[in-house]
Amino acid sequence: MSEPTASAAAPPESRKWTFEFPSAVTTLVIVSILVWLAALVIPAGQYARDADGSPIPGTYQRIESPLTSGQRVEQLILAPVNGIYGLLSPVRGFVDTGTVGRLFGWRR
Amino acid sequence: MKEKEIVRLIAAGAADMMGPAMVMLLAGGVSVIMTNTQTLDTILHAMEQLITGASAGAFAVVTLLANIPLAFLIPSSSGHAALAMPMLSPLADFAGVSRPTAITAWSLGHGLALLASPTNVVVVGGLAIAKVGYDQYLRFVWPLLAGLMVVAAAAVAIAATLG
Repeated sequence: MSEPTASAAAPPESRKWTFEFPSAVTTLVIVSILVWLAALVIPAGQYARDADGSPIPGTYQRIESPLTSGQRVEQLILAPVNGIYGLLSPVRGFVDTGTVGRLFGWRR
Repeated sequence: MKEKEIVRLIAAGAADMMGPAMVMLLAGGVSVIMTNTQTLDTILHAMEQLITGASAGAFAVVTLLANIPLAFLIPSSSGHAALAMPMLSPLADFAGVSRPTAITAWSLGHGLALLASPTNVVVVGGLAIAKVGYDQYLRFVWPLLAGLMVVAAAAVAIAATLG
């Protein structure tokens, strides 16, 4: 009983895979996860910034990552929230919803 | 129009903007992940070393070309901008390209990609209404796109070189 339905459902599914491209929302969720995974491997670093918040060339320095693994998971989950409501703390260079600062995205 | 109908239409109009809004906040989230894990500056540093040798014109053309695949992934221009700009604007500063020129190069790359992108609702919808196959459309439109690409690349290269 279940066998014919499964075989009937399989061909259109495989055809969908070749044709349909995921929507932008799905793509960005995947990109978020990939960037988050890449951030586990890429070492942390910092530029000195001028008054406008632009990085100054030649001032790059490696730093210890300030985040614990729990905070990293939190960053992945809260990323969309921070993306819309997050404020950039000018002191810590950190974006979250609990700081007073300029709206992220308007800083540069 | 009745009061309830007006309110319903306003809500329906706002609902239409929910899709682009979700794209924007997710794209912003990607930038936030890179900022908060402090990896954005590391990536900038890696690119800074590539850029310092290159000319301003080459940077502008590369900006145009590099944003074409991104536009396929994120057809919403606001979402694409939210994703690309935190990295693009400091890179433009490093390369000595003015920000308006960098944004023009980005915008041309985004717009050219959307003329042929299967992820662009306008292209797909328009082709469906006109009953033209996507492959047929691509075969017809590629010489125009190639020409526009050359003109756009030349324009941003000249703009960046002249400052």
